[in-house]
Amino acid sequence: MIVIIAIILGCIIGAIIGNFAPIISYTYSVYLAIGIIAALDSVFGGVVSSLKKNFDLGIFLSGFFGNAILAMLLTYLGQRLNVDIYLVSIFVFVSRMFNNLGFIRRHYLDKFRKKTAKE
Amino acid sequence: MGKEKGILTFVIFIISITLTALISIQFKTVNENKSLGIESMQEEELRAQILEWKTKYEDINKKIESNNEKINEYSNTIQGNKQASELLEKELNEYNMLVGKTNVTGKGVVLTLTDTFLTTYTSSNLAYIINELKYAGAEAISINGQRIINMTDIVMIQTRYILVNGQRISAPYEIKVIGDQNKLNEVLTFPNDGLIDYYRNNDYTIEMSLQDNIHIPAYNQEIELKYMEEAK
Repeated sequence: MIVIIAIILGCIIGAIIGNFAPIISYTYSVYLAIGIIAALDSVFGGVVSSLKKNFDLGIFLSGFFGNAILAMLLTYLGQRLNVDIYLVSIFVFVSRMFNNLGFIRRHYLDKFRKKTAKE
Repeated sequence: MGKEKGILTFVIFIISITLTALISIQFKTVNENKSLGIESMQEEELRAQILEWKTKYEDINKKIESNNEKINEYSNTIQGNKQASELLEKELNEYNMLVGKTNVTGKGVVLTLTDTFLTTYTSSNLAYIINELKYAGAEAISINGQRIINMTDIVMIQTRYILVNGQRISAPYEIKVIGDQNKLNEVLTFPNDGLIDYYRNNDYTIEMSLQDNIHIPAYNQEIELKYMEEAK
């Protein structure tokens, strides 16, 4: 319960900070976008692992920051090489996000069905 | 367990702050750039356009530079031509002055010769005086308004008329001379042998005055060269 409150509070504070933060140059916005996608992927991964009861804070944090930084580096490399590598990272992250979402969906569907079967 | 859960909550709190902050920054950035209309163009395209404009700008700059150089060259040439023509004009003016085709003014002396009951000036007297004046450094001479040039004749007809440049003149004779005042004065007033003393000793009337602002008119006839031409 306290975790949900923390998330809501964090979102509100984050939105306020983001509202007052300066905008970044358009050239670098692609890096930020990649970083956001990678972070979201890690968040869903974390949710799934917590549902599987094997959540590890270290893995979660390193995945959160490491994936974001790696994705940004790959994007930079892609721009240097004139290849749109960031498309591939987005593809990987988004497909993983769908996988994780699917797992979460099935998990709660199963729970819901078991509940209705009992009654 | 309680401590671990606290840390977990804190981490999740921080992470949600970071994520939402980043997302809202990104939203703002994208919105801002949409209004500029740039986002519809690929970055590569924009880069290419910038490059194109840059090369055009450089080309134009180069053209401007070369044009400026040409302009400089032309103005130099014009300057040179101007200088040459100025020099020629100056030379022409000098020659005209020397030949006697222009009105001239300057420092010099004025001699006034008056006939008396006993003595009259003849053309040979005048020719002699003019020759003497030339020796004394005269640059321009006139007798009664007749400019003396190198073609000037001073003749007497029937011992009555004196003709200078073919024009009749009569006494008193006013001889205007432009030249070095000191030298003229010295040569003319040399004791006994000088021009003034020589004529005075022979009962002629001759007056001399130094003047600073003498006007001598131009030779008023055409100078024609019919038979003479430059030898090669």
